[in-house]
Amino acid sequence: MNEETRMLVASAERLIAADYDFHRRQSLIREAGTGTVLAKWPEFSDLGWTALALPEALGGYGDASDLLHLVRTLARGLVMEPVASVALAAQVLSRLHAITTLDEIMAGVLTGSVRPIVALAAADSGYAPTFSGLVAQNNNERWQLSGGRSLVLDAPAATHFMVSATIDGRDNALFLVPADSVGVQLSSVSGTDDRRLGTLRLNDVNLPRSALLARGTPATALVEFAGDLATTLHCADALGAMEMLLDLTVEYASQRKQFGRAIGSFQALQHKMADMFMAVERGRSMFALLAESLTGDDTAVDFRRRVSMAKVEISDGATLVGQHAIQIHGGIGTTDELAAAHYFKRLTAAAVYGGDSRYHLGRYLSLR
Amino acid sequence: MSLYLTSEQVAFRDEVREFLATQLTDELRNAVNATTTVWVEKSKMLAWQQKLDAKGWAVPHWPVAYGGTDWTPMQHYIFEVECACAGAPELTAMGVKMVGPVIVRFGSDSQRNYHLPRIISGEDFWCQGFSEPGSGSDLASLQCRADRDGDDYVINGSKIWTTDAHHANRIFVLVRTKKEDRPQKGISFILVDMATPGITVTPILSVSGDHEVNQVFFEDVRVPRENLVGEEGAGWTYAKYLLGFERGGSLKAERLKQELARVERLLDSPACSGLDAFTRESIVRDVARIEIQLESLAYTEIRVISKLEAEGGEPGPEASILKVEFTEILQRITELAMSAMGPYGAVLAAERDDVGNTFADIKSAACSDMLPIVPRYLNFRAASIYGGSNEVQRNIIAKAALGLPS
Repeated sequence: MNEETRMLVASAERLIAADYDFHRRQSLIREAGTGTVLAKWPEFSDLGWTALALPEALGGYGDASDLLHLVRTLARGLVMEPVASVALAAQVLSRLHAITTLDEIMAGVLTGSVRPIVALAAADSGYAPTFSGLVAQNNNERWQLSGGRSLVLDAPAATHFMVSATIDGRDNALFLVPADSVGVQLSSVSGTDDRRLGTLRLNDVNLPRSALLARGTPATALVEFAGDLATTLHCADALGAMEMLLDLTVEYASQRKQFGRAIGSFQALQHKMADMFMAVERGRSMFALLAESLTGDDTAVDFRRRVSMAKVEISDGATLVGQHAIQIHGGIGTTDELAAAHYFKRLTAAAVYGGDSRYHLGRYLSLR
Repeated sequence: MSLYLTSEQVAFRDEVREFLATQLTDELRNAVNATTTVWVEKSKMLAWQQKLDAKGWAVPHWPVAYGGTDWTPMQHYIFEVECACAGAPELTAMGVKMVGPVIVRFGSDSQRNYHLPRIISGEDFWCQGFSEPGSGSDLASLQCRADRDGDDYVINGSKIWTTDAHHANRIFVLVRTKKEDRPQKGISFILVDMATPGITVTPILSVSGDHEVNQVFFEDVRVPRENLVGEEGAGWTYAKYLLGFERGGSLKAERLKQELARVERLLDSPACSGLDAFTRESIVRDVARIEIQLESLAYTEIRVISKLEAEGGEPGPEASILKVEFTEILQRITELAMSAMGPYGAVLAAERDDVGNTFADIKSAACSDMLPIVPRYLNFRAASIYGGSNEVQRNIIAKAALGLPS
């Protein structure tokens, strides 16, 4: 970690310690109701987090590895604001910055007033991003979009949706849709981790020509990249939650007494925690691999393969750490009132987001 | 930390590759491939050590003053990876990786001057006298005694699981020189010539019928006092230092990748052509899963190295993590290789000599890959036991890395 990254991580740690303790977090979730928690969003943009890893020419700073470190640190506090989701969309947009009409959007992202969210899944498309299920038609020099997008993480926070679509039943395309456009309908359900998963309906949404961000091969490449970067960010999130849950479990096991001794002195539990630690270490290694891949000069296929490797290892690790932590906590670990249970839920969701370990093992096999 | 190489590192890698291309013979490579135990056959190992020595690379991890190198951890990493990729023999650890570093760090000048060059040249071949019949993973409970008598120590007792004792001309032993309140106290580290009267070596055959380990008996074995390393009673400290090297001192991910490649070759061999699609597919899937674990292990290894480079010191609980990961993945690969053998997994390859070094009804190049599979599966059950069992390693992780109570 360089000095800049260290300071970034320290500022996130300070914020969590100062006002994101578990009870505060739970009340933020309650207050947000069916929305995405945005209570700390202005503070996050003041701290410059929304400008992270964006091109310097646009007013950004730091690199993709810094973004991974931030997401990992925020997950230690189970932070609910859509930092990763917005950063993901911004990263994709920044690859289109030659399009001048996006300047205003990017400026809004930097200040925190604009929150684009990527939506790439259809109801029946499984884990891989898809272009089907959403059709765009050219209509009098304007675009008309109809169809839907499913399981859109943090959708209620969106000011804009970045959607994959098919033009005239042929070309892959990527569109930017203002969330307040006429014909946009959004509903959402609670994810396992209490984040909101949106279902987006577009009913003849009429958009200007500039809404088309990319078409054909560039659109395919961008959507593929978006999917992989999303998975990368889920890996960083899972790692942070794994690290913290291990800490909480060790602390609990060191204090909780049964049979007249701290339960952490029992070898059966020590070995479970040693296994959790090794899973965390594997996660850290995969985190290093991802950071290196994003900031190095990996080819697209190398990046894809490495993302799948990382997600296999981290999904399996997240599951192991989550399950062992609950077992070691005992009955109390199965209740809603304990922080550990919410880390378990975050990890359960993170193991699925972006593809579970079976899916990515299959993808890895097809790419090796 | 990065696995992307700088231009200097690329130049170094090319130098290593050039060396391997010119010095590593098929005979040596085949010997590695045929190995059914931990270490390759002694004569082949020594032949390779001499080639490394000629280049100045036999003990790269030792200080320059004693014949080592001043490589950065990244250079060590590159060297290990390239050697593994090329299928070069690993040098038997007892001399170069165990007693060598202990003598460098804790030995007297005369011990350094005498022993270190002989380890490098291969003139001395060492074995390790730690485990005893009554003390397995609880190493500190050892009973083998060394009593002072004039200018000598007199050693009585027995050591077990002694790898290569039947080849070695020297042994380093942990012995009890004093009864103290704690078992870790009163242990000393002594260097012994195997030709000393009173030493007997009896073989222990492994489940596969291989002879690699032994029991060594000491009956009134008289050793001069100057063979003591460091201070009397401080042997436990030296042993822990040594075990750090044994457990985490080498980079194994690349070696395991070679081992996994063997499974893939097996899948393409005639012996496996009859495997049903479901079995084959599930093996392929497991191969891919292990490949990912190996990528993770490679990064863990390099993270440990980078940390040592940045902060100095010796590997602590990291050594335990690497030992557990390495041995458990190794065992998984041997299991997978057994699956890939299909019905031939039931053939004990100890029969190989009688059938002319090949399976009776399959004559193909695949046989050299198939022959060691069953013995390796059997023998490497010991991997999670030796060097401190994996349960002991998990105890260490729980205490040293997680700070859990006793």
